[in-house]
Amino acid sequence: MSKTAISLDSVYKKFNDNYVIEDLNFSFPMGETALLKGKNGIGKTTFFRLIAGIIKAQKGKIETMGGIPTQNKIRSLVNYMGPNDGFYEHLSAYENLTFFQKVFSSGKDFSRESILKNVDLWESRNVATKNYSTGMKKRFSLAISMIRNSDLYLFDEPFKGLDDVGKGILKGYLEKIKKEKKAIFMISNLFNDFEGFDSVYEMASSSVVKKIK
Amino acid sequence: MNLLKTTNIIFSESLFSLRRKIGRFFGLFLLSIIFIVVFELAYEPSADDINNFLPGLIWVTSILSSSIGILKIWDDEEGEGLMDLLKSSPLDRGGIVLGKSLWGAFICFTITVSTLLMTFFFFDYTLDLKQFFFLLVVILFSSIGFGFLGALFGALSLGLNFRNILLPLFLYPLAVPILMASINITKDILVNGFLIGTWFYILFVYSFVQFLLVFGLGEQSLES
Repeated sequence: MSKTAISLDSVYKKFNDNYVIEDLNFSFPMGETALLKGKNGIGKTTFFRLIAGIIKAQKGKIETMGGIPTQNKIRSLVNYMGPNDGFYEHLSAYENLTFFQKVFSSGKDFSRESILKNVDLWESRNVATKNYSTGMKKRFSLAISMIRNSDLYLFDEPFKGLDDVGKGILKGYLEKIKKEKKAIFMISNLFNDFEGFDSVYEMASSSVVKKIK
Repeated sequence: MNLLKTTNIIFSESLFSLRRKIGRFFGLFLLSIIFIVVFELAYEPSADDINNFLPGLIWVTSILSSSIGILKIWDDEEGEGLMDLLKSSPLDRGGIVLGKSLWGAFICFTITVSTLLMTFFFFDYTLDLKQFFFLLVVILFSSIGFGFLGALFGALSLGLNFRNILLPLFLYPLAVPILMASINITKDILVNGFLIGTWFYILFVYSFVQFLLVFGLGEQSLES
């Protein structure tokens, strides 16, 4: 397997004639844990969505875990947690997890009960997720991320909306991934007090992502 | 993950969610009944008139009612969070659209069969078994055509401004061949008792084309 988890070579992405990503070159090693910072609207989320294979670039070459990120087998290696809630709001947490276990083919590896207990949602497992608070929804997004075994974890503002208990759960989850020597790349502008990351990157413009620590 | 497994997962989820959205489904059924009752009260047709207008009434009512359901099949995925998660998952994107298309066809089939039975009940019209079987065949093909068309355009229009207005504007004109063929075949079945004719070929080909379009463009429609 390639030693580079993420590689971008002269990548361009535009929306409505405006380039959000323009001639971007970037490389991220396997097993590294890093934060990505940058001002609002600079293109961090678009950058992550390109890496996760959610959207395609207009020009340039992207490799994630040694392959094209839009391929099904590559997407199974990448664990993406976006900034917005990604689950069926009319279903309960338990029903959603059942669905996502099928989606990620992880039925035998993870117990829904232990994961929901882990994120402190076991008591409200049968409540429709539309009735959850913001923090509970974020914790449930974490639960969905936890049912996947992946090699690269992309988190987009995972601390946003979490209370102290939720932050503790997320920090524990990040520690666990780090112990497994998996790569973590996380967008966060709120987060300063966690010393566990190997490096910090900054997206300075639509064409520059530089290492600042 | 392969196409069929993804299709099964997405269709099963829609079917499972039905129990949480059963009110919406009954609402569509109720809308069909209201159309039929209003028409019967307003028109009071003679026995001779029934064969002429019944096929039109059944299909216009069914297409209008089921289109409301079909236009909503992507509502849960319309938010960026869920669609991004599905797109970043190992699911086959073509399978996501195929699963939703099958769900659209299922909605259309169920609503049309219910409307058909209610219409015959309210107008006291009796069918023989052969006619009923022929009608089920027509409903099946038209449901595939309309359901697949609606799901594909629904996927193409995800994220567009004024989606709720644009989608029916594109969908209804493209459904005209299905509507015309279904009305004429139904009339042939009720009056002459036969199924196969020019209109049946038109319906078959049109529905088959929609089926092929979902296979061919399903993945691209989610990436647009």
